[in-house]
Amino acid sequence: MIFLKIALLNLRSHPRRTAVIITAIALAVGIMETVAGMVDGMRNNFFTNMLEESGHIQVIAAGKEDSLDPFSIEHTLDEYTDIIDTARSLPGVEDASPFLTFGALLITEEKNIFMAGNGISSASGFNKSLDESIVKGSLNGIEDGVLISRETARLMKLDYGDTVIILVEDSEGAPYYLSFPVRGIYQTKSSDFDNMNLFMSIEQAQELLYLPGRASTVKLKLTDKDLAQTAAEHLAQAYAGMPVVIKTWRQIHGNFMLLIDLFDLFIYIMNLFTVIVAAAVITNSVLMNMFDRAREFGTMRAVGLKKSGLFALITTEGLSLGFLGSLAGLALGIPVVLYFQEYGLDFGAISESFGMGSAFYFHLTAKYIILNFASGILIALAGAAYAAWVIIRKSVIDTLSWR
Amino acid sequence: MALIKITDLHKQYHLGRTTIAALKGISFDIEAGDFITILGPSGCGKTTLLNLIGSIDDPSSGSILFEDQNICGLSDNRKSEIRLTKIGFIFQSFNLIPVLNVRENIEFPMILANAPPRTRTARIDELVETVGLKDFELHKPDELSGGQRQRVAIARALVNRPKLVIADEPTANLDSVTGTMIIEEMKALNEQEKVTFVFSTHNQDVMKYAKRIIRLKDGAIVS
Ligand SMILES: Nc1ncnc2c1ncn2[C@@H]1O[C@H](COP(=O)(O)OP(=O)(O)OP(=O)(O)O)[C@@H](O)[C@H]1O
Ligand SMILES: [Mg+2]
Repeated sequence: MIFLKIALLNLRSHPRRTAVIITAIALAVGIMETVAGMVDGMRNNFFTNMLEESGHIQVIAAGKEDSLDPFSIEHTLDEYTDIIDTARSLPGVEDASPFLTFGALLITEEKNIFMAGNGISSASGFNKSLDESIVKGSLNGIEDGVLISRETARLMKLDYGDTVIILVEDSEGAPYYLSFPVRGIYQTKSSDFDNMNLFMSIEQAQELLYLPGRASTVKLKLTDKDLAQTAAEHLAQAYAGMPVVIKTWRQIHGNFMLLIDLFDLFIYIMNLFTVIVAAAVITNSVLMNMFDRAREFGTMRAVGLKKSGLFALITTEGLSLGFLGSLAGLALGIPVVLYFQEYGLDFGAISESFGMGSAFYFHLTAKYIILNFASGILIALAGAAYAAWVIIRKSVIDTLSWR
Repeated sequence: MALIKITDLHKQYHLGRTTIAALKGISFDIEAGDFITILGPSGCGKTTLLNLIGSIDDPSSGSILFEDQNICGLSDNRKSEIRLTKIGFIFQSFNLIPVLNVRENIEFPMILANAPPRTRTARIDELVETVGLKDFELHKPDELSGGQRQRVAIARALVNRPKLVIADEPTANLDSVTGTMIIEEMKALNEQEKVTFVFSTHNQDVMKYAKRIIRLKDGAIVS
């Protein structure tokens, strides 16, 4: 207690020096907190966007994944309605919906472009973000027409109500086309996505492709992503021996999961680096402070303070500085993270290319608050412990007569 | 039995290749209750000798028996323990802890010795009274005169009731009147509390207070 008292009194009696050190620590902690919030936000965006799109579990026709063409309709699910019924009866399953994806050539009088066709069910729980991104028409338009993006509409000089021809290779390998009215125009935050995708009802897609009653994938949405493993096992049991492949989100996004783990590693390395740099910057200041007071420490040793006691006294001061600096740093960093958590940070094309839309949102996490707080303390402690080590290695008499 | 028995004490300082013999075979005893003045010209080894007796420095050879225990060559922790409980220090330049007030400065060694709060309060009250700083007990060192600071240092030196108090030129930073007063106070404490004092000084007036005078010259006792 006396050590803490002496430490705090010393900090108060040298306000300028204290302010400089606390500011240095606060800046380091503030920056660490901001970057951690940003990186964690990226991770979170990745996660929600990816799972929103892929679902937690996918049931895929066996063999589809081995085909080189991602739009191949060679392998499709028979009896997908049965799979959906089974899936919906499992605990934790919020939604199970069929998808039929295919390659399509969009043709107008002027030009034609290749796109991914998506046959979706209008009752699907996966339609929420598409629904929200519609700028003209409505989602119901998929029943008797197609949904294209604003960008595609601009390129093809199409407008709501115009007719477009869609040419495909059907299930028998023959070219086949139908014409569809444009019944909806959408715009998401990702122009890559917009340039590539058109939507229609799965029934229309089945007719176009001559694939009655078939889907390429059934996607499941769960109430909790941790339930995926058990649900997948149930499904695997129910469809044992059938030509289906069941994948959880971990398997679907295997490579991305690695990347996401790298984010954590990145934060740790960044913290370590910041701690080392900041500690190096303030160590000098702390050392000067301690050497100025060498005679005081020598006196304490002379009146009976042990080496361990002196070490504790000096590091207590470091701890106090670290504590105050960390608090100040979090007071700087947390509002920044909260602001961008609320309003997002617009990185334009950069974040778009990461598949996160044109703005992305930070994320405040208790784990990183604690980590950064500890890092701030470590910065000050490193400097103080070094100074203490230098001082206690001297004899009492050398400490007393230090110049 | 002597409180302290010093036998054939040598101390050399090494400055690069040259060796300075600061003490060349010092032997004498300090009896409990002594009031010893160490006199001698500058550079004769007074500070060196006091540092050795106070166990804040180690001799090159020889021994110092403190109540029959050789304090030379003890571990740092054991020496700290001895300084805390058996020895008090008064420094030429006072050496108070600047951020602590008078009471807290006096209290510091008692806290290190784990004395209970109530005992501490009583002891500090008593000492503040003894050194006449009742009205200044909450002042910081930089608000005190040199004489007042040295009184705080005296109180701090006495707080754990040591057997021995060592003072290296306690009056050198004070004017001669104040210096004489400080020595008179030390003398009074020596008589009241039976504390043994060993101190060095240049002040000739002080000699008349000494029970015993040890004269040093070139690292040896001349009388
Ligand atoms: N740390 C040291 N390194 C080298 N030589 C030293 C050291 N301390 C003291 N000396 C030398 O040892 C001798 C004795 O010094 P000491 O300080 O004990 O004398 P003193 O009697 O206290 O002198 P003063 O009256 O000036 O304080 C001197 O020659 C001094 O130069
Ligand atoms: Mg001296």
